[in-house]
Amino acid sequence: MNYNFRFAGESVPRPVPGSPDARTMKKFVLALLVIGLYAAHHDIWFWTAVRPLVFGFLPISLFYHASYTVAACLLMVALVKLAWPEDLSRWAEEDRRGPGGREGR
Amino acid sequence: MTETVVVFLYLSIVLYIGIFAFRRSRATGEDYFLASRSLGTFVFLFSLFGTNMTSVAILGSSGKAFDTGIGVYGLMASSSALVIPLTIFLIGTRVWAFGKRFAHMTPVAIFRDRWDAGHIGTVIFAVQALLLMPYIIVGVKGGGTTLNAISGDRVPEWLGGGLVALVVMSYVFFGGMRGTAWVNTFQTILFLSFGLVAIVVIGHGVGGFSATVERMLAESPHPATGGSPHGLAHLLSRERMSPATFFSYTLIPLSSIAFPHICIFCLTAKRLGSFRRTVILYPLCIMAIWLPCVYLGTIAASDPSIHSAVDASGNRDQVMLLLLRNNAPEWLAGILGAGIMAAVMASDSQILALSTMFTEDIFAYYGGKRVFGERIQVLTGRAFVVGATIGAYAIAMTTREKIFDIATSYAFTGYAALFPLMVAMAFWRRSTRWGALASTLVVAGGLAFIAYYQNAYPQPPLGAEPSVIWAAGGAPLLTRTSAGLAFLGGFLPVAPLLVLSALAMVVVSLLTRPPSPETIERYFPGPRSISSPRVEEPGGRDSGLSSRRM
Repeated sequence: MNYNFRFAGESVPRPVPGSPDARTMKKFVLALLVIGLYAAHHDIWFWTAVRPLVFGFLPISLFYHASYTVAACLLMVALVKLAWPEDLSRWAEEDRRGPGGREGR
Repeated sequence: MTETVVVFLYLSIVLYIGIFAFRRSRATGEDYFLASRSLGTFVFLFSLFGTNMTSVAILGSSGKAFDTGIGVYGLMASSSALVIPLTIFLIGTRVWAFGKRFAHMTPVAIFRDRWDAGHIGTVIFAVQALLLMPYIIVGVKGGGTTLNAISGDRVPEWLGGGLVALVVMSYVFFGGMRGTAWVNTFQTILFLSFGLVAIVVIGHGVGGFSATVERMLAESPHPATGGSPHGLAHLLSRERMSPATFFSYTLIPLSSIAFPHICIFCLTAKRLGSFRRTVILYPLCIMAIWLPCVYLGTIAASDPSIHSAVDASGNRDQVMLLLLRNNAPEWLAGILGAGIMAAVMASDSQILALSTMFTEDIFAYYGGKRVFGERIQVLTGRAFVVGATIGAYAIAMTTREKIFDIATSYAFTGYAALFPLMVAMAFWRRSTRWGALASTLVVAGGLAFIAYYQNAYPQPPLGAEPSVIWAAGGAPLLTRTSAGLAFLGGFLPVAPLLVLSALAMVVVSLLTRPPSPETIERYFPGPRSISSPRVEEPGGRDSGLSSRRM
């Protein structure tokens, strides 16, 4: 166990951007966002609600799920910006031995 | 008449695109089956999305909304908007990388190499191929239904289905993956435009949506609904939808990445960057097509003439076409009908995927390519396209179940339950071929169970109490509803099947010997820097080497 006691006022060191700690933290936050959005899909609070009619014709629960779709898009933007597997691309495209320039099966 | 002419014009354009692609082709397997892994961002996004959207997206969704109401959007669309791009981001990118690096052309080829699995791969192929057939049948059946409705019964369903199957078969036969991707791109643009135009035209035709919704909320039970004591207001909420069913539907989109045609499409991207916009824009594309269709399907329930027509034919999938017929001028209904045809004709990539799987996983794997050469392999693939299309057409014309139910019961459920295979392949080093086999057999057994009980117990009428098949202590364990089987009072079969499939993968993998260290090292390189000097290992394989494990 590693206990870190700190006195009041003592500064807490921040993870250096790009360090393993920062990457882990970033992945943790993104995973929480994904789980949170998945949970938000089950909107029991609008289960039987029709009103208010948004724009005069869209039942509130349908509007909620349309907004949910936009939120999913925004989450994908965050994933692509913050967790894109760039080295996967390098790994796949680097020169290889074997037939056809690819690693043989 | 004008509508029929417009749709036939559309079919001619699609056929021309496929044949034009043929002129750009080369006589190699990789070119015919994967378009030489050359699809750019734009074509990749639209063709992948178009491949995923079938007749279920327009005809099935509006038909189900007609019965069930607006809840259908949350049931299938908004959950897909999160789950599908997420699986493309996490697994699709890895499938692309494995395919690019090791020259794999099918998911089974990846499974075989990743798990040192020879004949087990053949078992997985057989299960995947059997599950893909219903999905192809959905497309062919939808083609017949649509042409029949658009032409006002001038073109019978058997002829419409046959014409659609013939056009699809022709451009897949000639154009291969390139032709399929180009046609899908054209189709996606067309049916994405459909949603917007349909909502404006039909909104005007029904006298405004606000007035219609208020009428539905206020109206006493409509005679055409069979004197339901609840009127139509329940369609505007989910009061009649079981939360357990709603939850289990969120598992269905897991099927997307496990479908071989989607997996194979992931192998066609030119570079990994092509996935970026696909992942980001996918949710919005889903909304553009599903939101209008579900909303319009719900609104259609307020039209007594549509109720009469649907009750007479017993076919809910005609709802959108009837709405267009009632509310749009003939020429516009023709263009919108072409948009529907665009979604309906998504069976192209499934037929091509089946052909790719057969020629790669069976013909080439068992020595056909070595003996007869690549030219004969491509020829075999083309012959398979013809055979599969004829087979799908024959089954489609002799099956009477609704589009949505056929697809959901077998193909979607089966592939969603195969999702653990994809996760284990991409992320779990310790997973084994025996785990993969166990998971696959559990899915096959589960689907046989579903098919048996669905046929043994008659379908209760829509809205009627489900019949109890198994019960314990007075609580229903297994019931037969109008939409299929339900477990524990509402869970779709996909929920228990997915859990059992994942358990089989984990338990059997832990009990059996893992793949060789060399295999694991090839797929999950060690923690050395990608820029570090390359180390050659005995046997000529390189080991290297990403800074992070994949």
